Amino acid sequence: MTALPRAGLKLGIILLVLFILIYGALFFIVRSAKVRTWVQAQLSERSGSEVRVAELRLRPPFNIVAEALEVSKPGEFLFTAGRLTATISPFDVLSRTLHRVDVEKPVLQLDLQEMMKSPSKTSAKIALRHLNVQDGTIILKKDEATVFELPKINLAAENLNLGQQSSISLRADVPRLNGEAELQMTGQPRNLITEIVIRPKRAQGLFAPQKPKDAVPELIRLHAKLHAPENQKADATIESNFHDFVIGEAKITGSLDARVEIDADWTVAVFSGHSALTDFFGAIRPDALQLRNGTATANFAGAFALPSKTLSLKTVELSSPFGTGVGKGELQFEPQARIANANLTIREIPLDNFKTLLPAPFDQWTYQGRGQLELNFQGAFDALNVKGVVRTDTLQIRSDSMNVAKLAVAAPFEWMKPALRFRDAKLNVTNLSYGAKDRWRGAAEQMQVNASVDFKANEPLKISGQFATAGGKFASPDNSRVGENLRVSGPFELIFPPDKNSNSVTGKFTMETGEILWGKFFGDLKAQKPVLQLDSDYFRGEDRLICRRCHLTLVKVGSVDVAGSIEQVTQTPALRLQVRSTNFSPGGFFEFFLLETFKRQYPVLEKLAVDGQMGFQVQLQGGLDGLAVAGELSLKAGELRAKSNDWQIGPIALTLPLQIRLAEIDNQSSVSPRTGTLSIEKARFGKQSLGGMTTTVSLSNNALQFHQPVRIGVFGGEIEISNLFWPDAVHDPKQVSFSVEAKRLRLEELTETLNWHPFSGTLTGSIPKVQSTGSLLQTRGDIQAELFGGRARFGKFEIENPFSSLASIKLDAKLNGIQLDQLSKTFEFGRISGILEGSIEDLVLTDGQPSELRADLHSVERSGVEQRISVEAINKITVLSSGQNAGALYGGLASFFDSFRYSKLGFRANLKNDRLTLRGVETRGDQEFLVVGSFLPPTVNIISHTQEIAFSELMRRLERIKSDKSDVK
Amino acid sequence: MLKRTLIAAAFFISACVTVNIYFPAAAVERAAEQIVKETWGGPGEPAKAPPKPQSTNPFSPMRTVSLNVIGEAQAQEADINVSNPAIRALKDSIKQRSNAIKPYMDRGNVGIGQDGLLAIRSTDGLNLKERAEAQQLVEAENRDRESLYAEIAKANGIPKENVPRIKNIFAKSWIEQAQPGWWIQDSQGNWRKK
Repeated sequence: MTALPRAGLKLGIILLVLFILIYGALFFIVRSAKVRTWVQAQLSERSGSEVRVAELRLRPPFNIVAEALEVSKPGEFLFTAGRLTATISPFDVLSRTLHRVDVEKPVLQLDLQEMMKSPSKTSAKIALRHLNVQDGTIILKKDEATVFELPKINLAAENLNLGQQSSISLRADVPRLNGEAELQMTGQPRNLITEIVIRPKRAQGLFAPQKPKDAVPELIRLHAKLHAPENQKADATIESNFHDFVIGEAKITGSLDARVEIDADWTVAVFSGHSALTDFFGAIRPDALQLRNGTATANFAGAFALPSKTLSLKTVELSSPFGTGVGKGELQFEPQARIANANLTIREIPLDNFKTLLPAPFDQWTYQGRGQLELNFQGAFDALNVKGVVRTDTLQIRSDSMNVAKLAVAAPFEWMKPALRFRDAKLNVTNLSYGAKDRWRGAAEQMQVNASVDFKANEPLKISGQFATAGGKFASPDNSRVGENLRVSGPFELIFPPDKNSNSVTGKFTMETGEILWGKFFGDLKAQKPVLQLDSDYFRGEDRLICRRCHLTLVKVGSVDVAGSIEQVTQTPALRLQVRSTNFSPGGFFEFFLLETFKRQYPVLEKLAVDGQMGFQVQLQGGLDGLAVAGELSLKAGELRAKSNDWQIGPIALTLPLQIRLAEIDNQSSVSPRTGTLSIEKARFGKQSLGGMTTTVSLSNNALQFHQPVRIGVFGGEIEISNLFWPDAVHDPKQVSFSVEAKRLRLEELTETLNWHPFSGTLTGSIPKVQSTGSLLQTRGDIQAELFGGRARFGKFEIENPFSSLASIKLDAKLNGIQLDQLSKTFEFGRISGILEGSIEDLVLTDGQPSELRADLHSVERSGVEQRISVEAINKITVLSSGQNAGALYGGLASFFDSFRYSKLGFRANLKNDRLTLRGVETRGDQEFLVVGSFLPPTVNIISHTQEIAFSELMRRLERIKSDKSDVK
Repeated sequence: MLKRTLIAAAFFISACVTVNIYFPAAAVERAAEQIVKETWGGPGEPAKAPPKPQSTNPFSPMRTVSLNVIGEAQAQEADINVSNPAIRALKDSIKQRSNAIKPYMDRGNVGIGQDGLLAIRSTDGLNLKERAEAQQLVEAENRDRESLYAEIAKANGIPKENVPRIKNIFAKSWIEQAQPGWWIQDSQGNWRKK
C-alpha cells in the first residue's frame, strides 16, 4: 500500500469514528430533557404557537420521533398527535425539505371564528417529499361546541410545497388516485376562493415524454367560493367536475354544484345543489354490468345544524334512465355518524335494464314493465339498517320458452349487515306459461307465492313460504299426457348452502283439484286430494335427487313413503328407492287407476268390486324402462265380488315376496324363489258357499307360481287347481297354465247357481293342462259328467278372447245313455221316454249363444226301455221345427191319446252363420224324419221338409215354447 | 308346317293360365251399407213373418207332422252372411256406442279416417274427461270394427288376406253414410267437413 491510500484509509477510519461518536452523542443528547425543552421553546417561538412534546428521540438513521406532540394556539387551534416522525435526508437539508413526515392519530381542532380572521404571516417555506397521516381527525369548533368532526382520515401525499405570501398553493401527489393535486387558495378567509385540480400523474424520468400540463385531462376540478362578511350570513358556492374519478372500483364522471348559506351565527347551513353522473351504472360496475348508458341527475336541498351536527335532506330528486326518485332524510354526526331516518322512493324503474344483473338464463328474458323501490335507512353507517319494499304491478316476462302475462310483486325487505331478509314477499303471477312446442309445457292461470328470504354472507340462502296455483296445466309434447285445472298449494322451503352444489327442497304440496289424462288413464284428483311431502336434496352438478323422506297420499288409495336417490333426474332417471306403504287400498287403486281406463275394453270390470288393505315394502332399482322391483307385498281382508252381489270371494289374505323386472327377464334362475301364502277364507257364488283354501305362492323373476294345489270345496264336491303358473306375469299376464280336476260336483247345485234348468247328476273329470296364450285358452283332457242317468264327456275346451266382451267358448261333447225322460222333464219339454246318445262337435258359444255346432243326437233302443213321446213334446218339437203350435193337428182319434210310440227319434244339426241345417234321424226321399213312429199304434212321425232355420227364429221359437207351456197339454 | 302350328297352338294353350280368385265385392258392399245403416244410420228392416206349415190329415191315428219352413235369414240376408252371434254382438256393441260417439262427431272432435276407422281429429272444447272418453270410445269402436271385418271374413270363408278389402269397402260406407257436418278424411289425408 502506498502512502496516499494509507492516509486515505486512516482519514476514513477517523471520520467514521467521529461520525459514530457524534451520532452516539446526538442519540443520547436528543433524549435529554434539556434538549426537548430547548426544542419546544424554539418551535414555539418560531411558530407562534405553543409546542409540547412528551418525548423526543433519534431513531436510526435520521428519524426524529416526537411522542405525544401537542401544538396549540389558544382560541385558534389545537393539534395533537400520538406520534410524529420526521425523516431528514442529508441531501434535502440544503433545500429546506423534509424527506418524510409520518403522523399517527393526529387531531386538528380548528375554531371557525378564528379561521375567518386573516392568517398570520409565516415565513416558513418548507417542502415535504412524503406526508403520511394515519387515523387523523379534523374537528371544527365554534367556541366550545364542536361543529363538525371528520374522523378516520388517512392521507398519503408526496411532494408538498407549502408557503406563499398572499395565498396558499399546495401541490401534492395523490398515490391512491395516481394523480397530482394542486390546491390554490386565494383571498382572505372571509372571501376565500379555493381551486383544487387533480390530474393523472405525469411520467417521471429523463426520457419520459412530457405533455404540457393543460393537455393532461383533469380527474377533478373543484372551484369553491366562500363569502363570509363579519356578523352576516355567509354563503358559499361549489362547482366541481370529475372525469373517471376512481372511487373503489368505480370510475365516476360528472359534476356537482352546490350553494350553501350559513347564518350569521354559523349555526345552520342551508344548502341546495345539483349533481349529474354520466354512465352511472357503467361507472359503478364497469366489468360486470352491461346496462344502458345514461345520465343520472340529482337535485337536493337541505340544512346542516351546526350545534346538533344534524344534516337534514329536505328533498332529493333523482332522475336517471333507471328510474326517478324522491327522498328525504336526516343524518346525525354526534355522538356517532348515523342516519336518523331517511326515505327514498324510486319509481318507474325499467326492469329490463337490470336483467344483466341476473344469472343465466334470466338475463336472456325480456322484462316489460316498471318497478318501484321504497327504501328507508336508519342507523350508524357501519351498522346501517335498510328497510324497503320492491314493487311492480304489471311486469310482463317473455322468453323463448316462458311467458308471464302479469307479475305483481310486493316484497318488503330489510338489510342489516351482513343479513338481507325478505319477509312475507308476495308474488302474484297471472297467466304463466312455460315450455316450447316440441317439449313438455306447463301453465298456470294464477300463482301466488308468499315467501321469506334469508341471506347472510357465507350462510345458506333460505327461501320459505307458501305457494298456491290455480288453473294449472301441463302437457307432453304429443299431448297424450295432460293435466288441467290443477290447484296446488302448500308450504315450501328451499335452502341453497354457499359453496355447495346442492339445494335442499322441503315442502308439503296439496292438490285440491286437478284432472290428469295420461295416455288412456283419466283421473279426477278432486276426490283423491293428493298430498306430496318432500324432504329432499338436489345436487345440481350430479343431477341427483336425494329423497330423505317423501310421502305421497291419495285419500282413496292410500299413502306411499319413498326414500332414496334418483340419478340423472332431468335426463334418464335411474332410481334407487325404498318404497313402503302400510295402508294401500287395492279397491281405491282399482277404482281410480283401472276401472275408468279399461272399462270399455273389459266391460266386466264395471261389474267388479275390490276391497281390502294392502301393504308393501319394495326396493326400486334401475331406469324406468328396466326397473327392478324387489320386496314384499301383503294383503289383508281382501275381497273380490260382483257389484250385483251374485258372487263374492274373500276375505283374502296374501303375503307375497316379489322380485320383478320391467326389462327383459333373466333366464330361469335355479335358485328357489321365496314363497308366500295366499289364503281365501271363503267364497260364495249365488247361494252356493265355497270352502276356504290356502296355498303357497311366489313371484320371482316375473314368474307367478302357486306351489300347492288350490282345493275348493264346492257344489258338494271339490275342484282342485294345480300347477297354476304365469311365466311372465308382468309382460304377458294372459299367459297362464294350470290343471284342473273336478270331483263329483253336484250338477243340481251347479245349475241352480248358474240359474239354469236344474240338472241332476254329478260332474267329475280332470283337465291335465289348461294353457292360455295370447287371446286363446286351450285345454287338454276331458270333463265327464254323470247326468240324466247317463254320461256326458266334454273335451277340446277352448276360450277365445277370454277377457273381452266377445269371449268365444269352444268344446266337443259326447253323450251316452242319457235318459230322455229325465232330460225332457228337466227342460219341461213334455215327456219323452227312451235313451239318447250322440255327439255335439265343434260347439262354439259366442256372446252366450251357440254360433257353430255339428250335432248328431239320436235315440237308441234298450231292452226294457219304452220309447214314447207325449203330445206336449210333439207339440213343442212342432213349434220348434215349424214355428207353429201343432195343437190343432191332433184332433180326431189322436185326441184320445196323450202319448205315442216311436221307434227312432233324433236329428242331425249343423249350425253356422245363424243357419241351422236340420236333418232327421232318418231320411226318406226329401223327407227328414225327426221322429219315426213304431209299428204299433198309437204312433207318430214328425217329418221336417225344411232343413234350414234361421237361428234367430229358432231362438224365438224356444222363447215361445217357454211362454206357451201352459197352453200345451 | 302343320307340326309347327300344332306346337305353337300347344304353347299358347299351355301359356294361358287363368286364376280365379273370388271376392264377393258387391255382396260385401251391400252388407257394409246395411250394417252401417243398422248401427249408425237407424234401425234395421223389420223381420218378415214365417210362412204357414203344410196341412195334415187330422183323423189318422198315425200322425204325420210335416214341417216346412223358409228361414227368414235366407230371405232377408244379403249375398254374404252378416249374421251370427259374434257379428251380432259386434253390431250391437257398435250401435250402442254410437250414441256416445255421435256428440263428438257432431262437434268435430272425432272424424272418420280414410280407412273407415275413427280418429281423434281435434280436442278443442273438450275437457280432459271428455278427451279420455272420446279416446276410449274411438279405440273401442275401432277395435270392434276391425273385429267385425275379421268375423265377416271368417263367416263367409273369405281368406284373412282379404280382410283389408272388406275394410276398404266398409270405409266407403262409413264415409258415404256420415252425417252432414261430420269430418271425414280424403284420400290425401286431409280433413274436410261433409
